[in-house]
Amino acid sequence: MNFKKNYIIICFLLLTTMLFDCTEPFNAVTETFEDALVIEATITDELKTQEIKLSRTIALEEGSEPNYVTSAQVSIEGSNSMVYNFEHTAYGVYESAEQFQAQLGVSYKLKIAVNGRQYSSSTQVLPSKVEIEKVYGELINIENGLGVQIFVDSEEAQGNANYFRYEYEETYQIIAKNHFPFDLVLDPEEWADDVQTGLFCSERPIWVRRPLNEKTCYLSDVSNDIFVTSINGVNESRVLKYPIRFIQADDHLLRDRYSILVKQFVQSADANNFYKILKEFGDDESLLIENQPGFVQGNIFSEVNENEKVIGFFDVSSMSSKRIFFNYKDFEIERKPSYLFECDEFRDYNFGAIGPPFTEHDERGFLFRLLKDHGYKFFGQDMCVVFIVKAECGNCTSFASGEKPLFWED
Amino acid sequence: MKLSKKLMSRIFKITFVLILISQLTHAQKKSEISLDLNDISLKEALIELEKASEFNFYFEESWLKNIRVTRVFENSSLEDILKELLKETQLNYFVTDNKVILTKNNVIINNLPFDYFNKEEIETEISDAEAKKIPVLQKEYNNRSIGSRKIFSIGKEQANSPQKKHKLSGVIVDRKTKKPIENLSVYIDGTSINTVTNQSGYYSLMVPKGYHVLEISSLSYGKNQKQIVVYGSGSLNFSLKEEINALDEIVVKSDKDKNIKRVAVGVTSVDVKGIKNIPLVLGERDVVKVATTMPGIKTAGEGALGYSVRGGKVDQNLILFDDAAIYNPSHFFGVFSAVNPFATGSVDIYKGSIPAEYGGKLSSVIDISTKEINKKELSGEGNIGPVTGNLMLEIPVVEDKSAVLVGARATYSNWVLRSLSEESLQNSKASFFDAVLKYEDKINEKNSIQAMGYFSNDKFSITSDSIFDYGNRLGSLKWNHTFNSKNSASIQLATSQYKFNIIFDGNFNQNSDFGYKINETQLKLRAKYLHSNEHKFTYGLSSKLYAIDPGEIKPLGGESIVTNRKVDKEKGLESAVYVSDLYKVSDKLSLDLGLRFSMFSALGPSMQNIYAPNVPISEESVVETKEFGSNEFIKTYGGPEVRISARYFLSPTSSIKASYNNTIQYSHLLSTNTTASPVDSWKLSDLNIEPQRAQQVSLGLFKNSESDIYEFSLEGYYKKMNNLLDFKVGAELFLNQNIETELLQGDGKAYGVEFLAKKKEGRLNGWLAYTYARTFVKLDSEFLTNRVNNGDYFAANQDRPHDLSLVSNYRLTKRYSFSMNFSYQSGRPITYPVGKYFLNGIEHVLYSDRNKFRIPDYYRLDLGLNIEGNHKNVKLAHSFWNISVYNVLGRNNPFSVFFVNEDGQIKGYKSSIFAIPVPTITYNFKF
Repeated sequence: MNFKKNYIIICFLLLTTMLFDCTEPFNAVTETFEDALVIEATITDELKTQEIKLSRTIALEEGSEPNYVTSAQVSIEGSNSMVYNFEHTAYGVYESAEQFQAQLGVSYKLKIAVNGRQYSSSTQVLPSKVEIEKVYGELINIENGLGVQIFVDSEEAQGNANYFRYEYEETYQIIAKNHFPFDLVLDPEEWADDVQTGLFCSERPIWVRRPLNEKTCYLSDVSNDIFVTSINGVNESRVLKYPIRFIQADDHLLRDRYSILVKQFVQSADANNFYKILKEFGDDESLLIENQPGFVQGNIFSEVNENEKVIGFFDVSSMSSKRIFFNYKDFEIERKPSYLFECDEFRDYNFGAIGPPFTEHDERGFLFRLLKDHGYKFFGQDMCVVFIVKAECGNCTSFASGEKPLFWED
Repeated sequence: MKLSKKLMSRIFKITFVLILISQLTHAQKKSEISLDLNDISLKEALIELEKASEFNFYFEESWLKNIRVTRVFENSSLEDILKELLKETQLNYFVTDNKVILTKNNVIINNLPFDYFNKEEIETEISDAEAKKIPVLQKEYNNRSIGSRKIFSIGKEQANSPQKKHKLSGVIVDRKTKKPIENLSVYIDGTSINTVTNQSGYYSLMVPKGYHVLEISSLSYGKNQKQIVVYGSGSLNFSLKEEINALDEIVVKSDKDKNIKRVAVGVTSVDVKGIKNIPLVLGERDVVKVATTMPGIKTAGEGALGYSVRGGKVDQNLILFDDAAIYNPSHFFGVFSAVNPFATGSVDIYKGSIPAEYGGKLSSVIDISTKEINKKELSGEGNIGPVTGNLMLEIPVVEDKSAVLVGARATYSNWVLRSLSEESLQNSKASFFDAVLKYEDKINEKNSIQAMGYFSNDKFSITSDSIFDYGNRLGSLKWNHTFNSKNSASIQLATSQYKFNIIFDGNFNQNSDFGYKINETQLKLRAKYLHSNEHKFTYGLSSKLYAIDPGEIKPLGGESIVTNRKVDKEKGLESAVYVSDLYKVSDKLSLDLGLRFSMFSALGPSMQNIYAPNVPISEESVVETKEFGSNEFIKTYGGPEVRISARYFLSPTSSIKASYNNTIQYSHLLSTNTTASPVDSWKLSDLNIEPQRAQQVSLGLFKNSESDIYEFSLEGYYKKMNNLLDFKVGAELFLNQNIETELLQGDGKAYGVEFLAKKKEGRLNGWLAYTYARTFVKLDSEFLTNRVNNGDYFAANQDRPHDLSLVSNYRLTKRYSFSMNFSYQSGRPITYPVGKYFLNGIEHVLYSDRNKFRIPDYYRLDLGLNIEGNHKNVKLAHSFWNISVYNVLGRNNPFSVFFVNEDGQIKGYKSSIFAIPVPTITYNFKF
């Protein structure tokens, strides 16, 4: 358990109730840049096209686009004299030429050559497999308020399985808040015709049914934190109630239907240590107590210069995953969480108001342009008055995918 | 009233003439005077007296500095009043006609010594020329600080005396019992002429003609000095008063030129009384913090715990509070020191030559003693500041015999925190208190005891889900016994405890309670044997038992899934024998030869891992786990520790000193932080953790001005350290049973030059200290994982090459004085990112080699104003206001720079403690 992060900020005060703001963010600039190879290599016991990602370090002030390494020779050698070659596809991703899975009893070694420099990892073996027993949510009250905490329980661990790393992928359904099943037909000629006014206001000749998938959409996110735990020193030989994700009760994620896929990697002690340190460095939020930072040594080394910094850990893991679905109503959450966007206001225009173009009297013109060029959606009418809403309120495909994922269960 | 220098020197001349002629008559008027002097300066007292007596007073103002008097005289004679007022000073008075002339050290003798005509016969003849070789009265005595201020004339001046040396003899008796004192060592200061009194208290010495200081020293009677002017053979009989605490008083008396005289090199003494003239942070007087303005003693920064002495780590200082080790001498993450300034008598920091009686820590001994209690009357001191209130009382139990001191200090910051509108801090808590209780009893002339108890506690909670709690508990008992004039001893029993507790409550199933505790109890015998003027021995033995309860984490509440985890208790015994000889080789050369032999045994019950050779130590490389039974010796370490220093007088006001020291440390602070924290735990050496060792050589040059007003010193040192403890990057120390798997032990070296210039008196006083020092560490191994910075030397966390402090105080008027601090330090080394990268979609930073960069330099200016209360006669207490502004320039001195992962992105933060000027007002009182 890491207590350190709870020191957070200590500021000192005076009788004058003056407060010292002691911590301030700053834009760090790299004073001396160090170039190093970054390797992301985890192969699992799933039979699939395995992936390895290569990039190089970038300066602190540079954006969030990695500096991909695209011309490396990558291969994995097994102690069963199998060699798996990898080929670059895109964005520094190298895919194995054929599908394979890590096997028990075989030790693996990663070999990389970049610009004539040889790198290799220490040998790794596949740890025993441990399945996830269940993934479940509970409504709890913590410091940040009421919310659903998602936990993972693993099954009983066998053999050398001691260290666990988790990743998750969450997908949530979005039902557009102000979806109306019809659109106005935006025919410029018809709209330009003043004769239409009466017709429009009394009947509804220019409505058309909208595609269904503009109402229900899906968004996915992957975890952006490191989750590691171990069952060393724990009474039970399994992971119990590991808290992986907390969602506040009023978070829009829970408004409609929510799903989370939890992946569990059983990893080696060294891999665990590597990820744990990376996590600690990222978590160090204390003011007065600063962990000694430093280079986190992985298990991949330059064959020429032992002291060259190579970032990354070649990890052979057994993987298992589990997906769950739930709605906020499954918990005792009384209020429906609010929508992702602010959608309480409609705009209304008088279809019959046709003044000189681009004056305030040309309401029909405005309406036309908002619907046609600015993504606004029709949300019904009352006689001549037309209600419209912003794109993100009326059409979820404006920000999410309208395609239902294959795994989705309603 | 005020006399010019010229006039003064004339008075001196007159003085000597008067001694020779001695024909003036008693001219004092016996009128009776009443005066009520209430804590006013001596000068003011004399002015009052001048008014009341119709006498004109003549004196040099600078003699009266820093002396305050409180006394009521009713119908006393002028002479009695003067006697009383000048009792504690080096001043004498002479009353003639309507004048009172004050002189320094010299007595204007207006009648002949009692036995003036009772001289022994002078033998043989000598030529006039030879007699003139020994001018008797051309010496300047004015700067001598001599206990008794009288000058005794010995023998009768005879122009034709052929002798260079004359016999001086006499009998010394106890003032109370009137019995002769035997075995007293009697000698002429600055010479090798010495003897010892016989059974009937008789002594006899052959003394050269002229001015001398006769020194008499013994343990029970302390040190006594008599100024004598030898004209011929004669006798000097006198009585001595037995003093129990004689040894302490020597220090006080010789204080003025201590820095050049002292044999030890690298000793810093803090002037506890002078601290009130230094600007404060949040109104807290801080004895130990003042020490950090002296060369060679540093902190990691504001808000950093502990001290780094001459490149050592914070865990390498033995901090003693009345002989009991204090593990964490700070409150509030180091912003305040845990030692009550009002209860503190002295602070000595041994950074170069550590006396042989101390050991167990590598870098230094910080020896803090409580003050000697006022056994005459109830007195006290206190202050009210913005953060704390502090009160100290001295209560006599039996007058002149026993007394109690009680001191307590507490914060009211909880109240402040709660009243804040800032919501994030509403739930914060930060409070501390400390209390000290001391009892002194002079049982009889040969025995005295002293008992001290101390307690401190800090509690803070920054987030609503955690409560941190830490504290010290100390107790010590000391019995001093004097066997005879040459032998004395003391037995000390000291025990101390440091503990911390972390309660984590708020995160549903992770709630826990964790506690850590270290206890140590030491029994120490310290004896002194004053063999002769040349050899003074100190010897003894000590044994310390450590018991560490590294703690247990317990689940809190039924929900918690935290499992009960526990690390086995540790036990160890550290013992030492030591002997040292303060050896006066010649008038100029003195040596302090010390040897300590220390031993440490890790004791069972314990489980110790044995690791496979030639592979990195890890949980996988354990080949055997050995079990040790209760009190079984697991492993014993030890060795001799040499403590040698030498002092050579280059001139009466300058000296050169050198020392060699080696030290061994058996207990270690486990910390993976760049600066220490109150929740770092201590660990004893065991089968897999070797003790740390260090060697240091130092050389120093010391110079005082003629009048001892200015003091200069220049010291240099070189230090080598072995087996320093460090840890792998990201090491897990919390409740780790196999800490050695995370450990890296390496070498260190440190060197530096320290300069100090001090002006001790005058309207403007203060000091300037500059240090250039470097500290390096090397963590090398045949295994890559145990190597830091490719196994090369790198700057240690405490490496701050330049360090400059200016502390000054200017007294404008009697009531107003200004003070100013300026300090500058090179920035602390840090490990700074040299790039960033992405791994599993998360941004991380790549750190540089360890400590390759530095945070920006630190500088700070503080200003203070002291306003003394008015000097009304009837007043409850003497008081003064202190107004100070800390960090006047508002310099945002960064304390640390860190990088946090927020939603997969790296954000840089920098923090500082006092980034803006901090004004404070403190009210101080004394009664």
